[in-house]
Amino acid sequence: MNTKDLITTIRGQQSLSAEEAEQLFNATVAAVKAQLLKGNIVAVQGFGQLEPKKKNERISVSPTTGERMLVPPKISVSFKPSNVLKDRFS
Amino acid sequence: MSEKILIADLVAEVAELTSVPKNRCDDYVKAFFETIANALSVDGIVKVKGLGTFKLVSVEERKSVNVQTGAEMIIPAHSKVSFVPDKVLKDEINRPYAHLKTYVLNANAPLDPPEADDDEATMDDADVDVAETQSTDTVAEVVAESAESVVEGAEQEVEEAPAPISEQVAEDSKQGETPIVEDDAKEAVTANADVDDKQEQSTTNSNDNSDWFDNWEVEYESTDKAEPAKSTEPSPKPASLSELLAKAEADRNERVEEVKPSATEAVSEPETEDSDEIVIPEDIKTPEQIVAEVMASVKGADFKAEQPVADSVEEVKEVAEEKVEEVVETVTEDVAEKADEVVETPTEPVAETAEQPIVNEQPAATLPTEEKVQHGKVLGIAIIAFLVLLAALIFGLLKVDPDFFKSLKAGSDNLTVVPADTSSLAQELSAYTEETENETDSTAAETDEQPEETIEETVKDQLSKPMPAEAVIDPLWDGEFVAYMKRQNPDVSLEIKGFNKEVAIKPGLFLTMVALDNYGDKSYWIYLYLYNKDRIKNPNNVPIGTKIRVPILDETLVNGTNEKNIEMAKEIRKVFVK
Repeated sequence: MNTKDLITTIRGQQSLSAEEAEQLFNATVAAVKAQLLKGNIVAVQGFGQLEPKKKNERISVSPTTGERMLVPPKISVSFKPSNVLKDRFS
Repeated sequence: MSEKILIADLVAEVAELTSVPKNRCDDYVKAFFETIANALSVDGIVKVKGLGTFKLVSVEERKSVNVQTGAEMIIPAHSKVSFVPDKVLKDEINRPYAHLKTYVLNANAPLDPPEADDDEATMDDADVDVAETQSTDTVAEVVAESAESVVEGAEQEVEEAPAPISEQVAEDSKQGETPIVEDDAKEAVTANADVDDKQEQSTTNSNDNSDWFDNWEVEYESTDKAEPAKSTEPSPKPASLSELLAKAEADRNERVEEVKPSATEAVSEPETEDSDEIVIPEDIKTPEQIVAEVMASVKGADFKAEQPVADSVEEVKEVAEEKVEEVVETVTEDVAEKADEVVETPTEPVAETAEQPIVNEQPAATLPTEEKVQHGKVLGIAIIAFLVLLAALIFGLLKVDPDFFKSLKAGSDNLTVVPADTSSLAQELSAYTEETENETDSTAAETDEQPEETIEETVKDQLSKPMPAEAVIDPLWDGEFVAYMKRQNPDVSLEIKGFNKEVAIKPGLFLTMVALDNYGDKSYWIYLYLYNKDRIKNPNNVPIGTKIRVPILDETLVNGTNEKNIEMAKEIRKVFVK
């Protein structure tokens, strides 16, 4: 399922106008994003939580050349599904 | 930071963004996540633009052990939800570290990168480093201080002419400290040769003066002073001078020849005596004894040298003046040859020989005036005497050839210029012996009067040249780097326009980031390394706590994101960091 499908699906459930549906969708994504950028954890009950995490720098070795590379630190978003969601798929 | 944002908060934000009633937003947001979850179970994958991809990943069954019971169990195959953030989100959220790039490590580089986890280990390293840099710093500081005091004293006592000379001497001694020895050796010695030039001229005055005893004393002291001033290359210059004098002898009449040998004997005797005596008592006699010996040698030198020096100087000086230029040339050549040797000699001896004259002169200048050494001074003089011993030892190690002592006659003729130094030395001495201060000052004042006038003009002429050239290149730059830039990028200025600040390296802060903050690109970190080479041993692992000087650099060297400058920085990095 892609973004378009998602919007139309929700629109059908909520009986929204196409314009409104798109607006709400964008606002929701933007809100989540804004919180993640602030470093906050977005926890959605029954779904899971999205958390920005800092990955420390590390030395990795290229398997082909054997070169050792220093990989810089980075911040990434991790998703931890809630138990409810987990149970649905196990 | 790290607040937990719940649906209610999200809804409030969405409502604010869309001006849709809150209850409808609430419905929508809940439906949003619910739909994603449902779609996951149906399609197994949901792509949300701007957020990322949720995907079901199947996990095979695996064996595990129940930690509590120890019983083996099998975790059945199942699916789990994975999330890969959208590229846009990833980039935005990683912005703080976006400038960092992966780079290949040197195979020999130590395995512990400056990670936050390694705090303890690196902190230890930092301590050691700090200690080391301090010790080297102190040596440099001592020399710098003594040099400064020389300059100060010179400025106070003698207002115009000798001051620049002593500044040069100070510079010379400083240059001895810098890694640029090889390059500067020539300049330093030519400067010395200049000094000699003036000194020879000044002898005219000093010898006319009937008060030759004081003169000679000063001359004697100043010869000592001049030796370390040439600390970068002591031997060749006097040798060539003596050669020159030999020529002068041949040219001159017989009388000079008669006088000359006696003069050389007279002067060389006390000189060698002096150094021998100082070297022998390694087990350290009482300071009074040593001082007495020095005094005796000085006095002995006075009496023996009295007549011959006065006579021969007048005879020789004219010819000597004519050939001074030749001397300068030969000196520079000699220096070029021996530059390598000089570079090898550690900075410590250089520093100490530079200090030596200061110390050496003190007993000579003060003690004749005050015969009895009081107990208060004993301590200070003990230190002085010890330094004299050290300096004499090192002096011997420098393989000063015997010609040097013979040529000291010529040197003693010429070196009257430096009396400015005696005054400053007297000042320095005052820290130890306040009582003798007035007396030494007065002797210094006497000696100052003579050289001043004649030297004035020549000094100004000659000093104006070397000063600007040396002022441009900061001694903190790595010597090799300066040489490299002269070769490869001569139009790039290494001028330091001031200091932003000192930055202390801490976990997560690297040279590259300091460079990015201050110069606009991380490639410029190499300049930080080359400018702080005395503090950074291994640029791949700068210990936490290291303080980095951040100079304001010229635009020709560092110019924001200009590709040319960045390329140059990268080239330099390849050359200087393996």
